[in-house]
Amino acid sequence: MSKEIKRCRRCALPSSYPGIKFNQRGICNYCVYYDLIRDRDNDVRKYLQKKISKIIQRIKHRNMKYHCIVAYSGGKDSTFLLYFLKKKFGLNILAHVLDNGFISNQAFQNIKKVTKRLEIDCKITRPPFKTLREIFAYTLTQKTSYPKEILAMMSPVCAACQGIIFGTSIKLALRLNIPIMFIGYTPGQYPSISLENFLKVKSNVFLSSRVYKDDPLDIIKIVRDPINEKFGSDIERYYFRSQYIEKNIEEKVPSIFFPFHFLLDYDEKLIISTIQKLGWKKPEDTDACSTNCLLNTLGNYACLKQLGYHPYIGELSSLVRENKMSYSDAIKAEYIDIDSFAAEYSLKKLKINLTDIELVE
Amino acid sequence: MKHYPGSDIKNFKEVLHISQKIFENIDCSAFFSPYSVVPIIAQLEGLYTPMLGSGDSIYSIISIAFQVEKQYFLFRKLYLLPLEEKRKIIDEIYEMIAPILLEEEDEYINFLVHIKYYHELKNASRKDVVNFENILGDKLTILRSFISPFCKGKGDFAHIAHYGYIEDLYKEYSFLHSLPNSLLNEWFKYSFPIVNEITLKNFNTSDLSVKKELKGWIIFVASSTQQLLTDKTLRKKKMLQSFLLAKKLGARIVGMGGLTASFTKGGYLILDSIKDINLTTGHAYTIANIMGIVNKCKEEFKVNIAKITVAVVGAAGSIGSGCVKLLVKNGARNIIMVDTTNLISYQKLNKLAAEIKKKKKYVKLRVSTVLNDIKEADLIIIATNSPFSLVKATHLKPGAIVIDDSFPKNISEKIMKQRKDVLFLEGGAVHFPLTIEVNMARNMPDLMDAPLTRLISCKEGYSSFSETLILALTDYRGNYGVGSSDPELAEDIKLKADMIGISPALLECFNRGIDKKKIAKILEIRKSQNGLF
Repeated sequence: MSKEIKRCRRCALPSSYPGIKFNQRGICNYCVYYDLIRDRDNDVRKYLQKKISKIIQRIKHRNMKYHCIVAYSGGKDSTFLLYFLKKKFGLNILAHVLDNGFISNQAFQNIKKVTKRLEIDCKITRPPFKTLREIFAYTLTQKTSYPKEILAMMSPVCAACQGIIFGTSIKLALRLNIPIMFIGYTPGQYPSISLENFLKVKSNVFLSSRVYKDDPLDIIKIVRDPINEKFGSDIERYYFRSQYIEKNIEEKVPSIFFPFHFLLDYDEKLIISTIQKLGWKKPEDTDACSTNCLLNTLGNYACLKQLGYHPYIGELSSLVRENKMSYSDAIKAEYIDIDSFAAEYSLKKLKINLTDIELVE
Repeated sequence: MKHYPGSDIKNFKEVLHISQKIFENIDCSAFFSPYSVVPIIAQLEGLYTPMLGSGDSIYSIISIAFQVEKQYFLFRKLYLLPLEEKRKIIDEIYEMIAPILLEEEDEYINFLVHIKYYHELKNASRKDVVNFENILGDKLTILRSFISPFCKGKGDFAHIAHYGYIEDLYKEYSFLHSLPNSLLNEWFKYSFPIVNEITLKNFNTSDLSVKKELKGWIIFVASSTQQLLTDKTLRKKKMLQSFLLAKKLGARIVGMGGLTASFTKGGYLILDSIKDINLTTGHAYTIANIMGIVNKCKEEFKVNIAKITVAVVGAAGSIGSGCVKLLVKNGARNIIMVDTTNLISYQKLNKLAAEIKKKKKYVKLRVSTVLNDIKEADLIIIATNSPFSLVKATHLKPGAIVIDDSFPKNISEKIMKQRKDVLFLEGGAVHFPLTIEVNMARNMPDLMDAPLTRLISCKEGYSSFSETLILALTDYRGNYGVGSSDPELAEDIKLKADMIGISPALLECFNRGIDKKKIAKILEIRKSQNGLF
């Protein structure tokens, strides 16, 4: 991203970010809002730590093959999440991996090593690549209808993939009667949006036949709808219909908890040093923002070209605000190497050109 | 009585008092009705957290963060209230705004005391009931004063809709499950409309550098289609109440969704009772949209409309008859007009057939009251207002294309599963430009037949709603489509829609796209029948 772009002096959010405004001191409205709710957020976090720990303790004593399912990517956060749930709570865990066709080889080796080391069962779902290719090529090369609130957190291609992760993991949990689902987002990816929601519905996402008027967005629905509309029944089995769930299914739908940092103080260095002891190695072929997915580079590039900002900057700036990352590191992490192996590999595998991405208006 | 239903009046007062102080010190020009500020109060309370990226939505506290910054200590006080209490206060504010605007506070108090809180008050003494009535009166007085600066009467549009199915209402109001049957009917009779405030930004105008924004309200009549169809008194009361609310809110044009146009005799019932209100039925763009889908089918399936048999079910109705007229204009020569309603409908069909025959003798028109007759049709348009599915799986020819524009939908998912050899398309779905931004003051799940959040996720809405928006965007003054549909208006509004970039959402059904495999299958069936090609 060009250095001339105006950025928040405190968190590095650029002026192209959705809904940003600056005060006279050059500080953005997201930073000011963060200061306003910081105490409140800490209260909620402490409260949730207690509540969720209680739920986990209660479920732990049940005689079940799996107490929880973890949407596992092989990346650093979900790897640490597996470790944390196993070591701290002793849960029976099913790690569920979605192979989107772009998982780095090293990430696969990490998945294998970590699950073996922690003695956790691992199930890999591989949707037909033809279907995935169509979805990913579409979200990279055409304008989608995702709202700005989703695009403030992730690129359109990531949103489409997230929908499949949600969908396949929830369906697997339903099939195996697993009561809890965890997703290992970093603190910046979902900065507190779902915490209060949990207080109301005991789940971080809208999964109910009831109405919760204050839910900010039904994320599962919103990441699914545009893809469903475009591809119809071809993709239905990979996404989950979060509203109008049938009564008998509603009772079995897992409670979904994310981001997991409300259970502990997030410390990236500690996370990496801990998982390295399990044999986890950082893939060298992925970009700075991902520790598992090769497609991420193209997603980031598409977002930057089409929307004018890096899709991770919302997450990175949240980390800067919380003093978990330096300002300069956030800007460094935005660097996109479009000539990298990851980008070239993804273009070739999706059978698209860079210009297809660049020409989207 | 220790605890009265609803929030504690002290907390209710405190929330509004603190919110008022906060609002006094910020620029409130963006808030265009009392409904605009409710989400901000909920966020001040800490009831929910706005999402990243919402910094320019009037419903997000992030948009006013710089102004609220200095009032942190006031704001903190609100957060300390118990969660349940915050929830109750926000719900009460939402509910009370409509009765205040409609000046029906006494009716609202009666409604709460005798219906909504029946369980809580059934053993209460007379004194307690009077006390509770006084508390409600106080709350309404406080809220009336609080909302008065926000009653600006400046909205671009309102759109009146109603619930499709009773189940939708149960989802919105879970306490209905616990009401005895006798009171349920009373609840449906006396409940107030539900208002969803909405803003839509970034519409293109003829000047490319200028983007247009719309502000308005979707007002839901809290009754189902069947209740409104069967109870004339209820229908009249609810319709008048909702349109009056739209007027009080200050909508420049008021559109009609679902069967609202039929329930108000094409709007005439409203015009007779409410002065200075501008209406449109939504039928013009609905017909234009159906024809857009027909044209898309012509391209996709290489259909020669002059050679196929087209059936219109509900052909005596406003939309059905409009479709017949436009089909003839577009070259259809073999049309079966079906209406099963009553003798008057049958007479209307004969009159329509005679009118068309007068001008175009070569058109073969068949009038029918029997659904079995549509078995011959290659293309079927359904525009009925029946609360039940009329068209059955056995009525359809293999390879037929069915466009269902009915509200509630006439084609059930069951029929779709039974007849995989038929292509079912949604008649009312419309695409808005992908560049628009949609913000809503209040979340609600997709009703079975009115998927509101699809506006956010897919930039897609219904044709009647689109007509309301198109007229608001083109600054239309006066009544537009009132009474029966007019094919000329359909052509006029299509031109307006094209300029804005609003177009039919092509080839989809039950909110999902039609995949290539399905299209290929229908083509194959048709080829084997030597049908459409």
